Amino acid sequence: MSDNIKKRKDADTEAAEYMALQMSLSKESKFSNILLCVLTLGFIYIFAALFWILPDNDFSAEENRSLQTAPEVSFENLFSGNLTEEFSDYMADQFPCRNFFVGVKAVTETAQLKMQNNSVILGSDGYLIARNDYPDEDNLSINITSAANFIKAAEEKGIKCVPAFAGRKQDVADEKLPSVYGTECSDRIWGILSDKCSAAGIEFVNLRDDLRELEREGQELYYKNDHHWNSLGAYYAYRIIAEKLGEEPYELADFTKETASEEFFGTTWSSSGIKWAQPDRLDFYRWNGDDNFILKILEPSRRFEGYDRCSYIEEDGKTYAVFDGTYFVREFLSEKDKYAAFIGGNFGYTEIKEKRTDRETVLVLKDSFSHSTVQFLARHYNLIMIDLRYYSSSVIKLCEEKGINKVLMLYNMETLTEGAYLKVLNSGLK
Amino acid sequence: MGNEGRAMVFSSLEFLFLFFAVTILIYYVVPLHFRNIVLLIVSLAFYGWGEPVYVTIMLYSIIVDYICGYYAGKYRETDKKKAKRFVIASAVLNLSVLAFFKYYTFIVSNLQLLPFDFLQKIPLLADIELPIGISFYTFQTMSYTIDIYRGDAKVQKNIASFGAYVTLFPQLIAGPIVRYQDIDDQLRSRPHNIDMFASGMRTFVCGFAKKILLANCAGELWDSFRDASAVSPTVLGAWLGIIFYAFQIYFDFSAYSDMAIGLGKMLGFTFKENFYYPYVSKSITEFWRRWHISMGTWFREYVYIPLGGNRCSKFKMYRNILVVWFLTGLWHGASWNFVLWGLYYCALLLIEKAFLSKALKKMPAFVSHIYTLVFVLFGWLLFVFEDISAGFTYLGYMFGGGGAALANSAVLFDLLRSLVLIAILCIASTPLPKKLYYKFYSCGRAARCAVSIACGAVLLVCTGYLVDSSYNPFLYFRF
Repeated sequence: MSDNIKKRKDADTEAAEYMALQMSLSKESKFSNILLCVLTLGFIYIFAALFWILPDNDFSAEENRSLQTAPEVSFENLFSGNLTEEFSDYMADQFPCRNFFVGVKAVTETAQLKMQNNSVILGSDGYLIARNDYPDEDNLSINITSAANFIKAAEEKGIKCVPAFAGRKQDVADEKLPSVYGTECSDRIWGILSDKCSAAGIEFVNLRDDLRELEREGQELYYKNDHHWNSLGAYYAYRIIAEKLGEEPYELADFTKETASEEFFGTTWSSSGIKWAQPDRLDFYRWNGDDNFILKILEPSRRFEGYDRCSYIEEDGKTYAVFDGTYFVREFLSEKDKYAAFIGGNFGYTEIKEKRTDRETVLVLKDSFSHSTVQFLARHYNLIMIDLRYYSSSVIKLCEEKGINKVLMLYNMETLTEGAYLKVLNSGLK
Repeated sequence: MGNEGRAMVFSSLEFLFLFFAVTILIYYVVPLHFRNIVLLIVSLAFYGWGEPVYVTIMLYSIIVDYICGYYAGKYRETDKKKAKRFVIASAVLNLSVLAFFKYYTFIVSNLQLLPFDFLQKIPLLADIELPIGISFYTFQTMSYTIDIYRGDAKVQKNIASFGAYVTLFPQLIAGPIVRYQDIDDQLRSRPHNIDMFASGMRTFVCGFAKKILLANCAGELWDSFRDASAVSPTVLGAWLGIIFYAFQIYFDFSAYSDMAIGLGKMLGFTFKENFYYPYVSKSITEFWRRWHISMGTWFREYVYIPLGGNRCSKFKMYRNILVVWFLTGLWHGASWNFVLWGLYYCALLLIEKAFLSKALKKMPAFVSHIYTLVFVLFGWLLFVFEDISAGFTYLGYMFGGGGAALANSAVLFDLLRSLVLIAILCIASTPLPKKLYYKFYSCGRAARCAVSIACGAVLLVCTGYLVDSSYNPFLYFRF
C-alpha cells in the first residue's frame, strides 16, 4: 500500500496536465469554449423552456397509451415519493420533439450494428420482429391447465372445442430473422407448449407450423410493422380452423380484396423507434352479404359515439355499441391504431351476427389475432367473442345461456405466456 | 432497497433540463459571496428530491461535524486529549447513523442466528430505506473533523460553506469521496471562468455519454444474459454476461465520477480523479490503485495508517490489512457477499505481496493482464450476486456445470450484434481514447471547435436515449 501514493498521482497528474494544456491554449480557445457553452447550454435551456411552454399531450397515438400529465404538487405526494416519480415520467412523456429523440436513439443504435432496438429485431425485407427469447412458462402452464379444465367440462356437455394456437412473428417469419438467431428459441417454447398440452390431454391446432411453411414459400403473412398476422395470414389460419370446426373453407377467390389503408404503422414499429420503416398495407376481404351484419360490443364508456352506423343501446343494465351493417370500424383507418378497424379492437364481449338468417353461433375465446379472421369466419357462423383479459364471468355458463355447441380458442403464443389470462375459464366449473 | 427510481441521477432528463439548468443560472447570477449558500440550498433540494425526509440526516451531519470540528480545532494545540474526544464523538455519531440505516437489519438478522431468546425479540424494522449515498457522505464528512485534528485543514467557521462541503451535490451520492483537506481552500475562493466551465462541460458530457451509451447498454446485455442463464444456461452466455457486468460497473461508476468532476469544475472546484483505467492493470495490487481511488485513499488515511499501517510488527500489519479489506467489503453493502468480496481481494493482495508480484513481473505482459482480468471477473461474481450460492451456480455455468450448453442461437446473436459495442467498450477501457483526444485537442482552433460541436451532438444523442428509455439505474447508489 505504501507505493499507492506514487501511482495515485498518475491519475491526478494526468488530469492536471490536461487542465494545464487547456489553460495554456485558453487564449486561442476562447471561441471554441464560447461555442461549446452556447451549444450545450443553448440546447439545455431551449428544451427546458419548450418543455414548460408547449402544451401537454394526454395520449400518444404512436405508442397507443396515455401519457403522464403534470403531477399534483402536494406535501403528501412529495413525501410518499410519488411526486418525483410522476414528475420523472411526466418529463419523459412530455419532452419536446419526443418522437424525434426516439428516432435519434434508434439511429444511434443501428449505427452500432446492434440489429435490434428496444427488443425489436430489424429483420430482412423491412420486417420488424419483436424478440422474446424466453416467454414466461408459469403463465403458459396455468393457461394450458385452465384450458384443459374448461375443455373437459365443455365436452361433457357436448360442446365441441377447438384450441388453435398461433405463432408470433418471431415464430412464423423465421426466414426474415438474422440466420444466427434462427428458430431455436421459438422451437423451445413451442416444444414446451406441445408437452404441456399433451400432458393436459389437449390436442391443439398448430397454426405456427402451417403458416411458417407458407411464409417460407414466399408468402407474406404478417405485417412488417405490427405483431399481428395480416389478412392473408388470417385467411390461411381460417382455412385450417374452419376444417377443424367441420366446415368447407371458402377459396381466396371467393373474396374480394379491398385495400383499406396503405399507411399502416403498427405496434412493432412503435416500440422499435425505426422511423424510417415502410408502411404496411391493410386489406379487408369482402364478400357479397358481409354488409348484412351487426357488430355489438359491450362498451360502457361510449367511445364510439358518433361513429358511422353506430348507436348505443342498453340491455339488461349493460351498455352496448351496435354497428349496423358492418363489422369493420372504418374510423380507425384514419387513426394510428388501424388494426382496430377489425371489429373495433379489444373488448371483453363482442358479438357478430347476421341480421336475417338464424345461424349457428360459435363462441371464440380469443386475443386480437382473431379479429382479422372474423371477415372469413363470419361467412359460416355468428360469433360471440370473449377476451378473457377483460371478461371475468363464467364462460361455461355463458355457453349454456347462449346454446353454444362449438367453442374456438384462438390464442397466439404471446398472450399465452404474457399473463395467466385463461384462469378465468375455471370459474363456474364444478 | 429499490430506491434507485426515486433518486435524482445525473443521467436523467429532470437533472439536466430542470435541476442543472436552474442551478447554473442561479449560481452564476448571485454574487460570489453567496455562492456557497446557493450550493448548500440546491444540494439539499437535490437530495430531498429523492428522499425528502432524509434531508434531516444531512442537516444532522452538518451540525455534528461543524461542532466537533470546531472544538477539535480549538483544543488541538492546547489539549490534545479533549480534541481527540471530539474526533471520537464525530466518528461515533456519524458511524452510528450509517450503522443504523445501512447495517441494522443485517446485524440483527445475523445476531438472531444465535440461539439466544432475547435476540429474537429485537424487531427487524424491515422498512428502513437506505438513504442514498449515505456511505459516501458519512465518510466524507468524518474526514473534516479528522483533518482538523491532524492539522491538515483549517476550521471552517462559516456554517453555510461547511454545509456546502457536506452536501455538495456533484459527488453527494456516488463519490468521489472528497477529503476536506483537498477542497478547504476552494471553499474559500475558487476560479469561475469560461475556460474552467467549458472544461467541466467537456468532462461532464464525456461522463454522460459513458453512462448512457456504454454503461446502460452493457447493463442491458448483462441483465438479459443473467436472466437467460436462469432458463437456458450456456457457457458463452455466462462469460459474456459477467464481462458485460464488469464493463457496466466500471463505466457506470467512473461515468458518475467524471460527471461529478465535470460538474465540480463548472462550479469552480477541482476534485481528485477516482479511476485510472483499472482494467489495464497487470496485477490485483495495481487494479486497486486504479479502482475507486478516493475510497482506497480514505481507508488508507483514516483506517490503515491510524491502526499502525505497515510500520509495526508483521502480525499487526497483516491484521491491519485484513481489517481494511473486511471494512472495504462491508462498506459496499450490508450483506455477506460483499464481506467475502473484500476478503477475496485481501487474500489475492497478500498472495501477490508474498510472492506472486515477483513472479508476474517475469511473465509476458499478456499473462499478467489475463490473470488480473480473470480474477477481477470472479470478484464481480461475488459482488453482484447477493445470494452467494446463486453466484456459485452462475460460476458453474461458466465452466459448463449445471447442464449449461456451450452456446445457443440467442447468445450467438447477442454476441454478433454487440461486437461493435464490445470493441468500443474495450478501447474505452484503455488510455488510448484520451491520448488521441489530447492530441486532437491541441491540433488547432478548428479541432477545438469540432470538439465543442461534438459535445453538443453527444448531448443531443444521449437525450434521445433518455427520452426513449426508462432504463436508467445507477449501480453505485446502494453503497
